[in-house]
Amino acid sequence: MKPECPHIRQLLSEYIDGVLDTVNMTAVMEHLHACEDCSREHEALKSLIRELGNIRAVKAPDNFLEKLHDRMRDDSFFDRIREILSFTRIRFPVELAAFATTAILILFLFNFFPTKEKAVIGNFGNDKAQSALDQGTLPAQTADNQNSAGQPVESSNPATQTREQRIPVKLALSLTNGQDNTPIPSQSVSFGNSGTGHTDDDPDIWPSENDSTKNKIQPDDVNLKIDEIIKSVEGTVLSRDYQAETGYPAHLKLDIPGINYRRFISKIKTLGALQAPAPALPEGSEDARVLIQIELTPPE
Amino acid sequence: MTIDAFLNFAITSGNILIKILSKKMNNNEFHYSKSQDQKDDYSLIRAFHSGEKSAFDTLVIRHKDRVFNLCLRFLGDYQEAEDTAQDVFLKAYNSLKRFRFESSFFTWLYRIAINTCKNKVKSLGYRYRKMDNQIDIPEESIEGHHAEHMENSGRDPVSDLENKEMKKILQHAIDSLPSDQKSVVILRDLQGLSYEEITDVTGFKLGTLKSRLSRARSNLREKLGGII
Repeated sequence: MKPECPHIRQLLSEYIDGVLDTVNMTAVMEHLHACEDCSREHEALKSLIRELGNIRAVKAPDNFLEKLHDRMRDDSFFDRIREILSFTRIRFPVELAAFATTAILILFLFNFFPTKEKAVIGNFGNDKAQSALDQGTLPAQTADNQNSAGQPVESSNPATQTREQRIPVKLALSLTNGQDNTPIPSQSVSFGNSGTGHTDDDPDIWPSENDSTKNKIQPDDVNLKIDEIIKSVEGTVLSRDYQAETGYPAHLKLDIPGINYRRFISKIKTLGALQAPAPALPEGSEDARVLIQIELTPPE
Repeated sequence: MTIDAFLNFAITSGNILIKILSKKMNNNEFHYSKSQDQKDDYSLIRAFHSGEKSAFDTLVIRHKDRVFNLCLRFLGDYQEAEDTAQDVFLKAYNSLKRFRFESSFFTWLYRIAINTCKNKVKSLGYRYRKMDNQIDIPEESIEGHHAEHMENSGRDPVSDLENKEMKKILQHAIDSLPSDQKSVVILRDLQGLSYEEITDVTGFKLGTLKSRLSRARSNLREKLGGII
């Protein structure tokens, strides 16, 4: 290959089309006479162009115009909308309007029917609140759930907004004096010295007036214990309201997993006595959520 | 010379003349007088501007084959080419009000066609459909390729098959070119446009067009190796 061959080959395309200037045209012509390789390349390129030119033209389908008219009719619907939208003389693409409407609709549906994932996030939020409670910041949490008039306020927790199917359960719980719900000893002991070696002052048998006050479960303790129970059953407080005078919880609305329902009932009984037996959940409710509403009666 | 012999001679000559004319018409380019057609196109566009919507139909009938062919060679798929050619005319219909008579209608239409084809090639759906697709053209759509015509042509079926194969190979080679090279080689070597018309359609400068065309042709040469 000669040194000028690459340059000449670059010009072959224009040479074949006859668009080279006179100087280059002459140079290529002379080179092709002298160089066999480039001459072969020239012939090959010419035959390629000839073959491309021999590719037959294809007619458009016979019903091309009819199909086009159909599509124009379809498009004219959108054009009318576009005209309506352009009354302000602001160009507003219909596609953008459709996209915006769809996005708004999706957002609305997403917020109206939160996913389970959101409910789980809600539980995490509750866990955070629980840890705050453990650190002694209970009043802040209770304040969140009450308005200034002491009325119950729906929690801002996303779980409270869920519209998932829940099994409703109503309970009435009378809070008792003792923390462990042990019956008051007056029912199990006899009075006086009857050979047991105990006196009326024996604190193990009969609590004194002071002891009774001391054993009476305090509102904060009730709240603390309720929170511990709810945490242990992986539940969520949806709303909670208090008796204004005593500070005891008066009404609780909880959301717990169905699988932990029995455990919850057995634990809540440690706070007091249920006025009616807890209802049993229907078969296969382990995967469902249970919405529990508890009316609490404060201790005497 | 008897009257019968004269009539026979006249019929034979007429048939030969018709064959020659039809062969001319079946050439790969759609021959017509460009300047006359431009005038006709302009008058149709003016009629469209003055509210005569049917003028657009005439424009479609005049240019649909050329636009369809351009799309077919660019996309290498009959159905995609039909859809895309219709997209081109829809865009033209919506933009024709803004046509300023600064260029010829067909270069303006080709510009829309090239851009629409390029966008189609970029689209994900097209790439998916194209994965193992081959060009498939109904026989009756190819000018001069009617089945009856083939039977009477006396051509060798083997050579017809070879030609068909060659077209497929060429189309595959064209398909594999980058969009810019593909568009210039189709416009120049398949559609027969002049350099000036191609610069008008593509917006390339003359130097850019020359180098792209040269590169496209040498790429095709490499791809086709010993075949051509």
